[in-house]
Order: sequence, then structure tokens, then C-alpha cells
Amino acid sequence: MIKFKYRYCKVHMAKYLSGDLSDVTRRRIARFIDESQDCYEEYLRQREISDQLQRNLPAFGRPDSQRLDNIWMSLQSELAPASTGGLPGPGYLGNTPMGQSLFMVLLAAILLLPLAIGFHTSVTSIDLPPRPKLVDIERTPATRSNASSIGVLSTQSSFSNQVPLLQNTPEARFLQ
Amino acid sequence: MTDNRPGGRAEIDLIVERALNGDQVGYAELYERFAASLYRLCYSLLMNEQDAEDILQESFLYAFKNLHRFDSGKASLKTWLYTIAVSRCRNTYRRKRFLTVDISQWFGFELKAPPADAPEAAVIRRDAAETIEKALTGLSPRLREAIVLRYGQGMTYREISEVMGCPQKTAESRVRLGHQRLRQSLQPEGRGLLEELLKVH
Repeated sequence: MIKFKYRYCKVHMAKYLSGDLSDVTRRRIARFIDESQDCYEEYLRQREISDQLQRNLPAFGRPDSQRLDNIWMSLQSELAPASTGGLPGPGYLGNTPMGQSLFMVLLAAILLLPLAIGFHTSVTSIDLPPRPKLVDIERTPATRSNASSIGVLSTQSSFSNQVPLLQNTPEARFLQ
Repeated sequence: MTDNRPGGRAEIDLIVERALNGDQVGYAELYERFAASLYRLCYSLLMNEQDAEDILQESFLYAFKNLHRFDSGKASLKTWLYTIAVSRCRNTYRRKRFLTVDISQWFGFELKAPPADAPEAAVIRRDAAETIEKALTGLSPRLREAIVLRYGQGMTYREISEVMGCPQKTAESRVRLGHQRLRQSLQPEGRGLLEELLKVH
């Protein structure tokens, strides 16, 4: 029973100290504190912490007026363009995320458009190396005459006057 | 700039309306009413002056640009501003969690605290604000938020739940848990602290 009282007090003590409990619970806690030494000690401990927090926390980081004035100046300078109708920033299309997204998409499109056009024209204007003319080897006179010759042959047009062709003649066979 | 407590809700709504109609004085008045308490909130959560300043500026900038979105029927302006600031504070300590590394933990040694009888230790023990600041730093962010909003800003559980974006019961249990954790961490020093304070007064 004592353990139950102690636990009950422990759970509700913070609210008891700040006056946030219903009358019934409040009266019950008060009775436990009177009856049980453990509950009383818990009450003293938690009251001590509450007092410390209430005394010290509101004074935490109390700013001086100079600091707040400086922040106000910065705020004014940041808010000024929008309120005085100066140069519109991204807020020109509205301060909603939708408006900002639209602004970014438009900006990206504007930036990428010249690149896209430039890429297309550059692809069409590239100087390709001249294509070699195809020669129909089978229709040249050399290939026609070589068909009946034996051994190493060359085209008649370029070498016929310089190197005699080895024909399937008795002289040729003698030379071999 | 003084820490003027905000007036009634109707009065604040009127100032908001004036600001929305283009009255620059309205903005200044809102800033004057809430800047100090909002700064204290940010500082208590972040324990860093520069960060607190940055968050204060960001929060007001966002709030003033989105003032048309504020619905006085849903929440008070104070709660709305606090929600904005707390959300930004959360982003900041989430970002800093990855940057702040305790090297002593890496190498498996602990930095020794000054001995109890050293003069530095005596100074630390007497300085209540510093002790609580240390204890608060040891709390998890959610518990710290609950404690700071409750004891530092004097908010009701309902307001805390609105600012923290959780059910009221959760806010209550966070305050209770935070209270218990603080008691555990402050107990060795806290009792001495209380005795010192009692001696002085």
C-alpha cells in the first residue's frame, strides 16, 4: 500500500505542485503526503526542483535590447524589398512552395534553352571528313585481264608498261 | 526593447490585422511584444546565443511573410510563433547532432570533473543557473522542450501540446518525465545548492 501511495505521488507530483490536478486527486495526494514519510520526501524533492526551475529558467538567455534591435534591423532590411515594391525576388511569383517551384522550373528552362538550341545547330554543322570514292574493282580492265593470268598480277593501268606479265607460255615455264 | 507580456488575444488580433493592412508599426509592435520571450525560448533549447539569434530572425521573417496564413481561431499568435521557432530549433539540433562528437567517448576515457573541494567546484555548485543549464543539456530534446515551455515560458499543458504538436497527455507525461530526469541529475548537486541558497538568504 505504501508503495502504491509513493508511486501515485511520484506520478502526480509535478502537476500537484503546479496546481493542475482535479480537486479529488489533489486532496488524495495531500493526504498521502501527510500520511507517508516517503511521499513527503518525494514532495520536498520535487518542490525543490520546481522552485529552482521556476526561479532560474525564466531568466535564461534574457537578451539585451541592443541584440534585439540588431535583429530587428536585419529583419527590416530583409522584409523591405517585398513590402516597398522594390526588386521582386523569388517571392514575385508568390511565397507559396508551388510558386517557388514554378519559378525554379522557368529559370531552369530559360537557362537550358540556349544550350538545347546550340547543341542542335552544332550537330548539323560539324565538318565531316570527305568520303572516299568507291572504285568498282571488278569492272576495271586490269581485273578482267588478270582473270586468265597466273602468278602475281598488278593492275594493267598502272604497271602494264613497266613490268611484263608472266603468261602461261613456254618461255615462262622455261624461266621457272 | 523590453519583455512586454503580450496583451489579450483580441488586442493581438487587432495588431495582426493592422500589419496585414500594410501598417509597418504593427510589425514592429508584434516584434516588440514577442521577440524577447521567443529569444529566451530559443536560447533555452539551443544553449547557444548565435543560434538563438539566427532562429529568432528566421522565425520572425517566416511569420511576417506568412502572417496572412495565421488563423486566430485555431491558435494564439504566441503559440503560432512558438511552433515556428520550436520547429526551427529542432532542425538546428538535428543538424548539430551529427557535427557534435564527444571525442572522450571515442577513445574510451572520461574527462575528470574538478574535485569537490576545489574552488572551481564550489563556484559551479553555487551557480544555480549554470547547474540547471547543464542538467537541461542532458535531457533529450523533447523533454527539454516540455520543461522549458512549462517552467521557462509558463505555458499550460494545452499550449505545450499545440507548440510541440502532440496530444495533451503526451505533453503532460513529457513534463513529468523531464522533471524526474532533472531530479535525478540535480539531486547530488541540487541538495547542496538548496542548502547554499538557504544559507545566503
